[in-house]
Amino acid sequence: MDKHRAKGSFRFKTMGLTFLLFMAFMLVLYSSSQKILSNSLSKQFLVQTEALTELIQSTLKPYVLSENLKAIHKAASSILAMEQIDNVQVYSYDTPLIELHSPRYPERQFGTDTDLLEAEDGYFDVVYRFDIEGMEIGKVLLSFSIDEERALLVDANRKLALAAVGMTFIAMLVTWILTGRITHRIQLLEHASNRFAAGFSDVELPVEGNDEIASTGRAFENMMWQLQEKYEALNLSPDGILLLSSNKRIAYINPALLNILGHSAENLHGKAFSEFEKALMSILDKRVHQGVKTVDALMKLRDFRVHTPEFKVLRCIHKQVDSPDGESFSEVFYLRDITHESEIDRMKSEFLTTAAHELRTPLASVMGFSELLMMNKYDQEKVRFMAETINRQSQNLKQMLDDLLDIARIEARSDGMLNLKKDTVRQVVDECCELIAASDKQCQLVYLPDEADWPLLWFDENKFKQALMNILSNAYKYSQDEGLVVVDTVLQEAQDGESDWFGLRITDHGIGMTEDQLAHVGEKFYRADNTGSIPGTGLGIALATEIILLHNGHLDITSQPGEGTQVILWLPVADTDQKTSSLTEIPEHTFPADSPVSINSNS
Amino acid sequence: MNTEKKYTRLRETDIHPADLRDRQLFMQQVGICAETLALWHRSGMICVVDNAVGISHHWSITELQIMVTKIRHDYREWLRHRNRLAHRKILVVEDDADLRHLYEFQIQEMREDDWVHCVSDGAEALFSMGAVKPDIIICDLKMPGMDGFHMLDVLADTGYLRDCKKIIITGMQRQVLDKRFTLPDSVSVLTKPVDFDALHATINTAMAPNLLQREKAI
Repeated sequence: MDKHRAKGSFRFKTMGLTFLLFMAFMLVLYSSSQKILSNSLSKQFLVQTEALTELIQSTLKPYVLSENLKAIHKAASSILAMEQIDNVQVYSYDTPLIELHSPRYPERQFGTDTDLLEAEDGYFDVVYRFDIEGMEIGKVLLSFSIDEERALLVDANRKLALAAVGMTFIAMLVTWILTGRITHRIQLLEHASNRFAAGFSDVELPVEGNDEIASTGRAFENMMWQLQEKYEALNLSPDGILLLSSNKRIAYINPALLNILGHSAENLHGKAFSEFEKALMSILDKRVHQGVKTVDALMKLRDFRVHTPEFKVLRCIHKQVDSPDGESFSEVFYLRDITHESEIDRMKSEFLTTAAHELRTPLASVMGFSELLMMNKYDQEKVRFMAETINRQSQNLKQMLDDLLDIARIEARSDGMLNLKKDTVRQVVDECCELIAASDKQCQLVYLPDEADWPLLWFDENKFKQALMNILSNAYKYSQDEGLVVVDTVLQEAQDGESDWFGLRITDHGIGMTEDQLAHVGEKFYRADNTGSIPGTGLGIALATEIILLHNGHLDITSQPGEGTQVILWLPVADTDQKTSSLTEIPEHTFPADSPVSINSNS
Repeated sequence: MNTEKKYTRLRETDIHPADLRDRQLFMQQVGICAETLALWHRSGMICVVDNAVGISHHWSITELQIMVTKIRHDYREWLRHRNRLAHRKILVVEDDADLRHLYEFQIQEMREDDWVHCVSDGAEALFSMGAVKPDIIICDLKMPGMDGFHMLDVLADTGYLRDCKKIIITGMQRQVLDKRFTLPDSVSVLTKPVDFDALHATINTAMAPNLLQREKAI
């Protein structure tokens, strides 16, 4: 409704008001001053006439009584000679004795006026009566010229009127100018607010001066600054945000969303919503979402895939904001990129599926054979064979579960701190080599610690031992009987100001791996040889990788099928001056791209 | 015979001319019928060009002969030992050795009259089918070398052993399986760990027609 009022009505209203007030005031002033003036003139006149009464009573009355015409004439003439008096009439009882006019006296009726202002023909008539003991014996009629007075009055009136009108106009002009100044600055505020709302940040506010408008301007400035802050925060959001005004135009679209929409939407500011819809539909993965043509349809799906060109999964949240008068509403669209989360979810469930599947296989044997043993009687040899199988598969299961738990614990970092010490790993390697040499399978182990370099490293003894044992046992497992396994060290100079690297190299000359197998090595449960002829859980290398990563190192695996495999455990060399390792805080752990997330990542 | 990881589909260009043999002679030597030859050809393990047969260098004709002969021999020994006909011939295809033993023991418990032969992958299974035509095939799906999917595909395409009952025992879940592979209705699916009662029940169904047929053949 405010829109329908005329613009600038404030000024007009004020001016009108001023006009009315002044007019009323002037009218009052005018009429009251008129009255005062005429009153004072009347009073003055009456005084004059009163003065004459004395004269007339004393002079003319005896003459009228004695009917001394000559004397009356003389007296009348002298009265007539008075300036203002233009007509003298003397009566004895009701008969006129003398009638004297001045030359300018016109033909007129004698009237009795009481008020000076009522005398319209310019003469004021006064009657003086002679009484003797209550009986009228004669009268004198005088006509006073009041032209002067009247002229005075009229002149005064005119001057007053002029002054009144002039004052009113001046007042209106002043009001107009003053209100103009106010409304101009208020309009500046309005204009600036509109511009800001439209998304422009270069706005001018009336902040000069010390008055209320300036302070309002400063308050606006403050508010806009706050809003700008919020806009900056929205700009930084990695999720897409779109604000739609009530007339379905894009009021705000943040850089992240423009990024998602890609080159199909250069600048959508201020454009219609349909442009956004078009851009969004063009990046939608049509294979998965066939038949989705509008954003409304998209909203029904919880998440949707887009092609940007890399695949992303987005979730769109929509909110409606009513305008203050409730007539219309603006909309907010929030597009959250949940690719990472859904990928993690997928990897988690994949991991769990694989783990369950793998654990099922040994279980099948255990259950089956134990069932048989329960139900039937077998000879000694068969019983032994079955029992041995059950035992072997149970061990396998246990090993798998142990490995899984190890990995989960490490990934969840609930293992607590690494128990670090700064030392050479020589002793640990010695121990591991002794252990592996004592295993059932006999391989030629070549390990010459004296000929190797052993710099100081930060490492956790137990974990490192575990990782190394995994690698060594792999080397043994996949070598032929009496195969050659070599353990030695490698040093790499620092590049780019990083620390030097120490590598523990384990080379075997066993069956090796093909390129395909090499690509998958380190994946949890991946077994290059699936026949079961070589026992293992598929978790050994994954575990070793986790441990080495925790130490800020990495694993290098190379292999040639039929010729052997080489694994190098790289660890950073400790700085000789360092007293404590930077590893005491568990380092920022980035999961290898294809490994699933641990089971309890929130513990 | 170690066939794991050695299965690659054979193409004509893979065969060395020296390895080609006369078709009829091949069939005679190995002791298989024309249908079996077609099956092996379709599976890609051998290559048939006009009248010549080429086999992959992974195994030799001698190995084939030995294998086929051995199976037949085993079967006949079993028959003689039992002094009666085998009620059913069951072929088990499973890569895990322990599970193979398990199946052997379990099936022997179920019916003493059944003859069980266990193989470790699809290729060996196809070779065995040439030697002894089983009535029931129990197979795993994920195996190195030739997996169960391919083997069943080949059987379905050639219509070999169409009356044979095929039972799939897999570690995969049913939903996953249905998504990846549409199985014909005649195939039953069981999941690991194996419920042997269910297996027993499945085996016992639809056995009558097979029996009749075989009795006629013999």
